[in-house]
Amino acid sequence: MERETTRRAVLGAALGAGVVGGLFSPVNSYLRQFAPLSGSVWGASRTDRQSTVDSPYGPAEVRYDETGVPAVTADDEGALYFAAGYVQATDRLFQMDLQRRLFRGELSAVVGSAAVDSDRFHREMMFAEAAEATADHVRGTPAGPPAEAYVDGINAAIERESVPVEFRLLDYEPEPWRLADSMVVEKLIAWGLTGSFRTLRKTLVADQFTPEMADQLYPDRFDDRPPVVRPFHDPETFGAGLGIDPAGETDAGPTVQQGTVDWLTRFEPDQQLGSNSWVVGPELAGGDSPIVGNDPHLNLQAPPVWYEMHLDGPTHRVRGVTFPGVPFIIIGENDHGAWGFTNVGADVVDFYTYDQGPDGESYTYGEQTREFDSRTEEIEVADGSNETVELKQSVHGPVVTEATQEVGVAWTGHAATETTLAVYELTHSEGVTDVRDAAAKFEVPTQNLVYGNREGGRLFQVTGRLPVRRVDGTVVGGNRVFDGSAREAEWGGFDPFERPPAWESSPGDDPLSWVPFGENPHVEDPAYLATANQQTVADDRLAYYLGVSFDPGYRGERIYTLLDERVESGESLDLDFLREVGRDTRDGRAVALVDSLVAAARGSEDDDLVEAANTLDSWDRRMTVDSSAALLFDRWMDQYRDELFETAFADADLGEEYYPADGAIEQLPPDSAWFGPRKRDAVMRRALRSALDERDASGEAVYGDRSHTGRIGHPLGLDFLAYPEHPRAGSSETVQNFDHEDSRGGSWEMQVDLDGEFLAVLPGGNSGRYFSEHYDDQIARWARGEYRSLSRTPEGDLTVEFRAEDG
Amino acid sequence: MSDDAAGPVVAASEQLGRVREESGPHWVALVVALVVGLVLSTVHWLGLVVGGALVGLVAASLRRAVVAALGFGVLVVLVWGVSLALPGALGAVRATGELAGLGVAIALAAPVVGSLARAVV
Repeated sequence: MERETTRRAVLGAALGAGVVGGLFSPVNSYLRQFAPLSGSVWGASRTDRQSTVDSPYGPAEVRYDETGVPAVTADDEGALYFAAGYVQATDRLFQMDLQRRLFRGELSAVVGSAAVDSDRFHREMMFAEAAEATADHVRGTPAGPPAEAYVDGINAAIERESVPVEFRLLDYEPEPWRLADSMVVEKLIAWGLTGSFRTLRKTLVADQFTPEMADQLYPDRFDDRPPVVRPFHDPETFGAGLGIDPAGETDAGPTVQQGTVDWLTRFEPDQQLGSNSWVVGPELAGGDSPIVGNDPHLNLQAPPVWYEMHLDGPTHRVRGVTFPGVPFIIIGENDHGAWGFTNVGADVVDFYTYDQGPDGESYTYGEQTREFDSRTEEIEVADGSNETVELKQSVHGPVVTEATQEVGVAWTGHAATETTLAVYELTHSEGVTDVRDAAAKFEVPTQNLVYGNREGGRLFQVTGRLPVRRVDGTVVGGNRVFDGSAREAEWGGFDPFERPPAWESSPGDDPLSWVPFGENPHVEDPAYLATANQQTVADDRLAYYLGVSFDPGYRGERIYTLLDERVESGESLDLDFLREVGRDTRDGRAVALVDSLVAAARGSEDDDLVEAANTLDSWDRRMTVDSSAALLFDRWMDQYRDELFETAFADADLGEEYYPADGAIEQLPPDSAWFGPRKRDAVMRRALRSALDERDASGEAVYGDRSHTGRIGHPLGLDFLAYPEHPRAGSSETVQNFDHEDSRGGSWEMQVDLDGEFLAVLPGGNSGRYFSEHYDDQIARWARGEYRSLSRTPEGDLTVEFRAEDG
Repeated sequence: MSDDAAGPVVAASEQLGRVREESGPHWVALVVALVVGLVLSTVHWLGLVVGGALVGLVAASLRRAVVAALGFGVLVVLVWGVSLALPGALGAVRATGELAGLGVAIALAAPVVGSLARAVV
């Protein structure tokens, strides 16, 4: 009896412990999330949505087409953008939340201590303050009311729709959206396209090695490739007569401590991002209207960085893509014309060092001593102790403190900018004049805008505010660090986190502090023009400093070669031809390097190298999925980079983030000190031997075994949220672009014949909901290089009906 | 305890004895326990424990209670699978791998914990 009682007590205790433990220990969250039938995570598998929604802005209708693209129609602009916000949040809410958390420095609150450093950086850079200032400014512009309706639509969706699986996995609820959150997304994009610590890196490498070796790694120009604006465009000399031609050679400026550069570089935007665009006039396109192509190469991820939508309102109809969290379509077409963007690589970031006071709280500023504006913020950390970060600001902008040095950062994006207004006006534009007026307000990032309209008008226009720097009264470039205490290179009329007075005044200030917009490079009605992030204008056509971070120009050269040859042949540059241009996979690095590699390998006694040389020699230099030579070249390039820099950089305590662009590697002269005593041929052979070993160990046979869409992952790093594997042709340097290593490439591949088809494809799917059929329904097509043909009239079944609240 | 107070307890005990030992009442009670357990499981994970406890309590022995609880767990997995298959989400849930496996493990383990109630009552 006693034994039975004991057994009962033990098992009863086990039952009680199981229930109490399940309720009150960390196990409870797993049970709430993953228990079958009731688990919150599985609730995300229900993809149904509200079919009717009350709107304070009036009626609207949403139809989803067969690829999950919403078409919103409304007779009132507020109602239109309320619905647009609603559908964006329904389809992409987690991505939107992650973006705002990243740039506000609030990631740790949901993902834990791994994100504390990221949060520190983003808070120190004060992106949130810039977004608040921008939101305050935008509210008072014509873009303000529709943007606020859009925000209300997002919040309605947060309230009424079920949250996506990621919120359930991380076990948190989204907070209400604010207009400033949309501006945070704008800052995120702008920083991603203009934020660069290249100046700091180059200065440091020059210090660690020699200035000549640094110049070879980070050349200011890549020779012999065509710029965007070419002689046949008959360009003016932009900025001529303004007296802002910078002095040739200037001092290198102060050096920033390595610890600071290392730390900043960890959070630097991807420096290899590139894009393609072109506009072809009707005479050459063989129709009555131009053709506009745009293929922004951005980070590839699941879901895609772009969200596609089709808006049909009272005053405009526009179809294209925007970044989730941004109300207005950024790239696309309306009833009048089509437009696209690529990055310029202009220099709109400057760095300043200071003579600091002994307490570190003050700095010398001219004849004065000033206190840094500082405050302490607490970083919330999920499952850990909260951390604090001290934020500092000087007259130039945010001050980043790492090691024992303060570095001030001035960035045009830290101002209250009008880019949102510019994008709004683009969507409503009715011709070249409207587009140019809108482009003038596109203050950051600096972009190559191409535009064509149905009447035949075309425009190429560089957007963005460009500062003029002076040291001791002499105009200088921005590719050096400045002495902030000596008041070097201050941006006139620019106050961070405010609307810069200089941007509101007319040009002609003395001395000129900003390049007048009319002097930004531009071409009206080009017969054809292509941009691929290469140097914008030849140096003899530009009378001011624009930047030094241009793309090596492989893609730009290839596109122009194909277009030039076609023009010379007399055949039209029609959509079928441009479709082939967009799918070109010839790699400029291979064109430049493989002959030397083959010669070096044939001088080897290693039979494997000779056989590899034969394979490479007969190769057409195209990065196609079924090519064994393309696979070998791809692996060789990786090994060649490592052979050149791994040891030297490790000795100097520099990481891979200091590796140069491949264009610089290709340009290294055979006697460059970077080859060391081994000389170039030996380095090439050694890299080829390593590449063969790596290839054999991997079991890969052709390029598509390595270059595939399975490389495109989700920010949470969970395998099931990544895309399935489909081989995809192209490399980081081909027109059809896919860098499988770093997961970047064609993020919205678009070709618009304004007199014909509208083609585009997304790398993934339009829905960010894992359980939706549209989560990855375009990824196979994207991998194959196919386009979708987009409708210019709203299509699909009525899915959501917005009803006036008072009706 | 007085005889009056002990009356309902004795009656309940007798009823419980019947459903554990007599085939007819046993099957009726088991079906009721399964249905109640399933319904509760759609609301909260504790429903799995309660379901396991209910099917366990009508079992003739602790060993049979554990087996019945496992059976309840399997039923939950089947119902869960059907509920996912109907909207076409079963494949996507299976693709979550370990997470789906965790769901199955919870479905089997929680009822077994509940079935330990059979040792007490």
